[in-house]
Amino acid sequence: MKATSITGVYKEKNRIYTENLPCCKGSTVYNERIVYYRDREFRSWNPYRSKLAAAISNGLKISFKTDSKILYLGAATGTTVSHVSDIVRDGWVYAVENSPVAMKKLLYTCGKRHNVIPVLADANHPERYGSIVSGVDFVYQDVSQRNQAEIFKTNVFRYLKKNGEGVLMVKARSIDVSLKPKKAYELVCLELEDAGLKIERRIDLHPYDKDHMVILVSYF
Amino acid sequence: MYLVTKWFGVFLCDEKGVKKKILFPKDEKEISKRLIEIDKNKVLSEEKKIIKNVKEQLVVNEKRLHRYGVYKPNDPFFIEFDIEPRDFGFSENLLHKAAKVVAEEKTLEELKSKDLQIIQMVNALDDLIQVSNLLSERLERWKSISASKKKIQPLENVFSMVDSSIKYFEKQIEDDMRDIAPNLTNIVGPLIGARLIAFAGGLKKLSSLPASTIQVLGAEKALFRYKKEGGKPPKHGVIFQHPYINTAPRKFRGKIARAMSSKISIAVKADVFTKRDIFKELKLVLDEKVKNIKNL
Repeated sequence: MKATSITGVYKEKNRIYTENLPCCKGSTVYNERIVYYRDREFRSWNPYRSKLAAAISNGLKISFKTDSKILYLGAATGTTVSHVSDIVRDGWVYAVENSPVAMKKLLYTCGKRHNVIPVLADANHPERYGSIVSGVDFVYQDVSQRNQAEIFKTNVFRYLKKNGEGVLMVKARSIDVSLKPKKAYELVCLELEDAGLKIERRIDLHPYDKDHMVILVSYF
Repeated sequence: MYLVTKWFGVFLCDEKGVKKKILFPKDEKEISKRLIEIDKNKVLSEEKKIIKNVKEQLVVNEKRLHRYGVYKPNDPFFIEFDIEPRDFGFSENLLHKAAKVVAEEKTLEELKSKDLQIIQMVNALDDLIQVSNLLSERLERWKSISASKKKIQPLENVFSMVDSSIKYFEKQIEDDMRDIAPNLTNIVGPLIGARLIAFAGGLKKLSSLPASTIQVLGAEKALFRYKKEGGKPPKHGVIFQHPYINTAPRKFRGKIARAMSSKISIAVKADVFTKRDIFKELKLVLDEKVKNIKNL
């Protein structure tokens, strides 16, 4: 088990791992593999299940710190949220999800994690969780909506601190099925750049996900 | 002056800092109660109290508070100025607990809503109809080669049970539909209405769809084939099951489907928002339109 250049992410052979939180010792979220190394407990992070793991496997460098505050839009059932909460052990993850069915599962899988703050709300209207969320270091978004660039922008402008970063998972198929994926990515990037965000990196998630791209954005 | 509401209190601030504050009790139940109020678009009693006797113009960043000040969500003050809970003796652990209570309560409430039950029921109904068809086919064949009564009886029992469940669900769906969406039910009937809700994923979601989408709900495969590969777009989705469309001559079906879906969209909006009964007027207009189309 070796530490990687990303805080909190470890590597052994081809797999990546995060260290399980002390409050959840021995428990898994989605039946992932648990590995013990020098009395520490690591959970395997499956790039086929989690787009952030896929992005990291494909070379994405993200600047998480152990005490970062993260706004996570589109938390779904908590697969990726649990690993992010492993990484920012002393920080906070605001997990925003709109579907009550998914939220029920999220509460079940991540309810014990003391640094996850579940929010049942629509990411289209960031002001509705304005009293809960404030000044975050990182915005992570995975919502597969047609207007996902717009959702990202409004949330970044309202909650991201200066010099913060953001990651946007673009699903080309949900932007417009009739467009070629490359064209769809181009559209999203243009919209972000027009709003004054700087695009640091674009990485395709092949072979883990089809027609998906991760965009790393910085904000000054 | 800026009015800021956080999960731990209400604050009046200016550029230099917090001028006036009312903190919430340090208790997860009390905090979650207030968060739910905020979510329901209500103004908290603390908020009313703090702005009493304030003569200056207030600036707010929530639409919920627009009556008390100018709504400026992008005012740089709100982005640069942050109120730390720790400065007021609140730990974020409390927020974790309170947010969990809020999320649990809201999820429960939303999952209880009748339209989600209707979606499950109508899907169950479609499954049952399939099973019933399969069984009746099997029974026919078996009977045609003269089966012994004893051997065929179990299958007959299941068949009659499936049939009675179908009748039960049909009745239940009709009752529930008349309850939550009277206008929609009166225009297209309970079953088609329920299927429309199922395809949209909820009554509220259906109400926010444009008529053109409602027209092809249930024909997604054909629609996306058209968008990707070209050819002809679908004229109708589930609304095809309505006798207005499936008994009309082919060349009129598209036109009738368009007229119908526009009325459906109006009816659902009335069901969700104003809750007025407007189906009589809608039905009159729709009947007139269909008649005109057929006489073209």
